[in-house]
Amino acid sequence: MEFKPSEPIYIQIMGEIKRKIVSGELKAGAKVEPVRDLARTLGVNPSTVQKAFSELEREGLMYTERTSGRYITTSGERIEKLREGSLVRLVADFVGLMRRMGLQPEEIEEMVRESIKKGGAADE
Amino acid sequence: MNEIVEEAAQREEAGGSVPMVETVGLTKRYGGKTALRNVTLSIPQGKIVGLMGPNGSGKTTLIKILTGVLTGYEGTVHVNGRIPGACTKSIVSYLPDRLSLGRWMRVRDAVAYYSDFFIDFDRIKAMELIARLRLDPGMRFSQFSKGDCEKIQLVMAMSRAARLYVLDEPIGGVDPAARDVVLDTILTQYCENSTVLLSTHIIQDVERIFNSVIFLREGEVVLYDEVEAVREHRKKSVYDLFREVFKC
Amino acid sequence: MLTKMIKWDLRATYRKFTAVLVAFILLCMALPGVLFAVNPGAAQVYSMLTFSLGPTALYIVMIAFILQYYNTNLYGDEGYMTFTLPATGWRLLLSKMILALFWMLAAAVLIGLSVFTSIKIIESNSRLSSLFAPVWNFYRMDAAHWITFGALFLLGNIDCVLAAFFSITVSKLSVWRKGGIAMGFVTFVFIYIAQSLPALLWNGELRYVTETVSQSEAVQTMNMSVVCTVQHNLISLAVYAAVSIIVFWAAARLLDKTTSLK
Repeated sequence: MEFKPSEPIYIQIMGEIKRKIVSGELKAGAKVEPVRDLARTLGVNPSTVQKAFSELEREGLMYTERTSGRYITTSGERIEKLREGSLVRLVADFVGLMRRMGLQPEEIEEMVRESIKKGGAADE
Repeated sequence: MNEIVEEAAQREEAGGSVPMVETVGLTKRYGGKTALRNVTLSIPQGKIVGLMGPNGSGKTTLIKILTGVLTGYEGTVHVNGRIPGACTKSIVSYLPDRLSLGRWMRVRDAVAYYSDFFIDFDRIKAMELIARLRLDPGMRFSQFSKGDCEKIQLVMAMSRAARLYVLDEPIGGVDPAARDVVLDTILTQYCENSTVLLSTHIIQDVERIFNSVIFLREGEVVLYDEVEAVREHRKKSVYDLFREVFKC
Repeated sequence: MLTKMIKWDLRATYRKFTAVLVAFILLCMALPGVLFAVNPGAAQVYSMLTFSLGPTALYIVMIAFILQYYNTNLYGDEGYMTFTLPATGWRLLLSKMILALFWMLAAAVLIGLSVFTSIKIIESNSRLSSLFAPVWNFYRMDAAHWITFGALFLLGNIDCVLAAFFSITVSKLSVWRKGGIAMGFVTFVFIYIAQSLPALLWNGELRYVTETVSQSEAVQTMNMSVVCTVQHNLISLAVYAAVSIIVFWAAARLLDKTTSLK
């Protein structure tokens, strides 16, 4: 995983985990890799991973089972909220970008409709 | 998994224990030159700390003093609460920037040597790592390339269950694939009880492994901060900050 | 810890040292022997050379290698390993001294054998035999004298090696800047003088040697005078030993406190 230079790493790790939750790669209730293992995989200091996990726990996206480890939240509601939140942010970023390019709201709507008709960007 | 319990214990321990490395007003003069100037540091246990600075900034001098191969300094130095000496040497694993084992030795001789002198040496782990690096245990150091010699020494140093690992430029002359092995070994060996001090001039892609970094310039500490704090407060990576501070 | 250090010192040095000893055996025992069977006359001439030159050359080479090893293992790149071992200075030092003792003992045994060979070859020629008569008498000491002489000779050598080790360590001190090696020599000479002081003071060296003329007329070696000095002057021995102990203590302290690897 590549890390941007200007942002704390733990935030970027959180972002990546959230992305995986939203996309379904990490399912609700799935067991999360232990801190050490993920740290090794990413080549990152374990305390950084630890901080990311703690924050995610604080945000209700992860929880700890005393004897068995960490899990993604089972709350479908919470995940939905996250998904909505990231989608809303995606759209807001997009709209903001289009506005900065000088487009009016009606033009943005028109271009979006066109793009949907054509199927949008190819599926990853 | 007792991971959670471990983490809580880690937080507790880090709070109240003796710092692994503590220097106060450390100054080292070599004839006319001052290699270290009033260096005051405190490195807590369980951290992976990067030591960075241009050539001649005093990194190696600091490392030599901590490992006990250099004496005659002003100020105080404590490793795990003790002055560098025979006692600290048993808990400090040093990887110097040159081959320090006899060239006549075969790899398995080196393993036997370490086993003999260091009770915290894990022979099995060492042999495993050597096999993983695809190195022939029967070959002598004189027959290996410089890069392979460095790797073997690293294996030796990291196969000890030391309280403090002091690594002098372990990823400098080594190819990217081997660099990954180095960093991976460090992360595998990592435990709450051990501290790693690693000097490097390669920062990009490596800074993520550190808790904190120390910048040395002409023998003085110009920065000692957490990597994440640098990113959070200065909005730049340690690499970018380094280039800015040292204007290269 | 000490035994392990000696073990590894031996492993590090045995290749070089056994090569030298083997060369010595070939040149000073095997070759004369073979030559004797072919041409006794040539063998006798050759033996006269190996008789004195052989042991001297071997002796010099062994000492040189021992000192070289001390220098490399402590002050070369290997020093980065040696000085990070959890051991105090006196162990490092003692290990090197025992190593020196071991190899010099091996050399002494071989020297003895080669001398014996040379004597046997030379004796076969009656004219040379008479020339060498005084020397024979020297070597015809009884066992007790041989052992005393041998032991003191070896101890004297180890002591000499210790003084050399100390001098090397002194020469590496960071205070000297440029004059390190010179200071090393000065130190060595100083120790030699300190140890010979009583004998010199009493001006008895020559007297003692001539007193033991019953053993030999012609041979006046320093080590001979050590034997004589011991036999006749215990104070001298005490001074000698005291200086050695001080040198050992000082060297061990320097190794601990003044490490300064480049």
